[in-house]
Amino acid sequence: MYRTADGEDVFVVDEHVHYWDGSPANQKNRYAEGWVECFYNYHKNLSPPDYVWPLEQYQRYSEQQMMRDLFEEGYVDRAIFQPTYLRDFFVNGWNTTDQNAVLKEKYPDRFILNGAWDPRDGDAGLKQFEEDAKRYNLKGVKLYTAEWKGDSRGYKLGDPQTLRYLDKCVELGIANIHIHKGPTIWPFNRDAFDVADVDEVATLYRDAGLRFIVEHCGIPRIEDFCWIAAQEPNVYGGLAVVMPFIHASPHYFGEVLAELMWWLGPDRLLFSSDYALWSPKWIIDKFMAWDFPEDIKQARGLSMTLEDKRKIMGLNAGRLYDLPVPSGAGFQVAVPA
Amino acid sequence: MIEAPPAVSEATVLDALRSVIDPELDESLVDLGFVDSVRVEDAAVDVVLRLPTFWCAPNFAYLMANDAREAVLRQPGVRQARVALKDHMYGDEIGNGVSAGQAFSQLFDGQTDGDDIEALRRLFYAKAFGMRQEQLVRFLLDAGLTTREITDLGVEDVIDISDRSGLILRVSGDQWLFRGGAPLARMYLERRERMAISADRLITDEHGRRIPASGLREYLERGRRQRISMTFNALMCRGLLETRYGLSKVEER
Repeated sequence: MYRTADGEDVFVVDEHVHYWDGSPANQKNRYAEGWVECFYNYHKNLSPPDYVWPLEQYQRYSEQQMMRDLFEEGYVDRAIFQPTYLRDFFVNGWNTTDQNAVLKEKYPDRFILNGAWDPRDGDAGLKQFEEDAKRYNLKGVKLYTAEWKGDSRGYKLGDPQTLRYLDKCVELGIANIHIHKGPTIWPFNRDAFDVADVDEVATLYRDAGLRFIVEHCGIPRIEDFCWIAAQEPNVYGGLAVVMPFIHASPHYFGEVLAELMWWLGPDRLLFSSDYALWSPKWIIDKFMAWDFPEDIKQARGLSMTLEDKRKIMGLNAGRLYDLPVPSGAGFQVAVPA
Repeated sequence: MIEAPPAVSEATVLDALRSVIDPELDESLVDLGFVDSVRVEDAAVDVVLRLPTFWCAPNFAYLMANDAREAVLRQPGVRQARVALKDHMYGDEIGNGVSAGQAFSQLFDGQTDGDDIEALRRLFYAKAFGMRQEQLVRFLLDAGLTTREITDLGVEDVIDISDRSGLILRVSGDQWLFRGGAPLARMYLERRERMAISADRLITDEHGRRIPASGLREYLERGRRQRISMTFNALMCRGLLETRYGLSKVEER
């Protein structure tokens, strides 16, 4: 819970966190090494100096560290695990549902456990997903369309195989489909960050109730993402990777938020730190003190109220995942008699 | 008597590389710090490129490496040019393929979906055009021109774009100096030429079609979003390159 200077409580859901294992022992090949190096540079490049970790700590951090950074120091009430398997790169995977489940079991009120599937796993994968869904009572999944698998360099959301899995989500009542549009390289001659396939499935599954949370707001193709999100009411923006710009380039952060507020509005944006890429404490401190720069306010006629921030920080994710909001931190506040 | 071929120097190679741009960022490889090293031995040139991450998209990496090789080969006296790409997932494939003059579709045979990679380049040229145009038009609006005055501007109304004199435009028959506008106009005109737009009007869409004055502001919004994406890429790429190779801030253009 974050408390403002005026004593207002703000419910915080970090909708995208990891408990990964990037240690050398878990690295299978040079791709794994390249993966960890790239993540670490993201961390170093955008964190304030006091929050930069040594590489070894970053490769594999402890449970205690995570609990402290998120829930003791970082104001977070609930955190959503978004698994990313990467079994072609890491012996035991990068961070799998089963690995995350250990912490979920230990701290059931703190974590929401999301699952994952890959349409290239065919019937066996579908069966496994169904088992995971029942075992862990899943409410959401994380898809990583850029994942390498054997000779394959990725998949599209509109592929017939993918649709079977999305049908299964509908059947199981798993409505929250988080999509990481990473630097997909396949097909090799296309724009690597194309988000057009999100458009296709968002339309297709709108009536069935699926919600597509595009992690990183489609960045670096924010123009395409905004265009799609404006037309599809069931498309949301996850603010992972967008948030840390509040420190590195605050005015630019304002320009991005202006687009997102303009096209999606405060009801479809979800806060996240992408822990351990970045730590939530400094991001939340800065964001709660933040307002649009004057020139953007003037030019766009936008504002960012405390109510907007409440939605972005936790109420939106709370709605998607049916989370109980502590009294006083939501919109309904008891009026003293 | 046989004339000695002109000597190739590292400086001339770097100059040639300055003209090669990252299509995604619309900036020169040299300014971005992507040139790791240049070595010249007689008429043979070796260029090593480096990118911000191990995962940078192979298609863009290929375009840059290939453009770099062609730019170097165009220099008088260069007989052979090799380009290597270090610390990249497909560094060897791209370096060897480009140096051997292979097309992208040959390099990743069967893994492209048939489109020419040039289509990707054109897509990003159009984005760069939109971004530079938005910057210029926004500048002119801030300087006090009306939307109609801007959409009425003809190419022949651009009187000067040199830094010495500044941007001079003819607006409704009178010439006006716009302080600080020359670099914006130059960048826009370069991108416009690259798009092969031959319209009489200065401000058109990417196909050279007129934009009505009443629709200019709405039209600009797209350009703004393209600028925001490109700015993100540029910020991220510069920062990651600096972090990756322990560089001090790469000089902003």
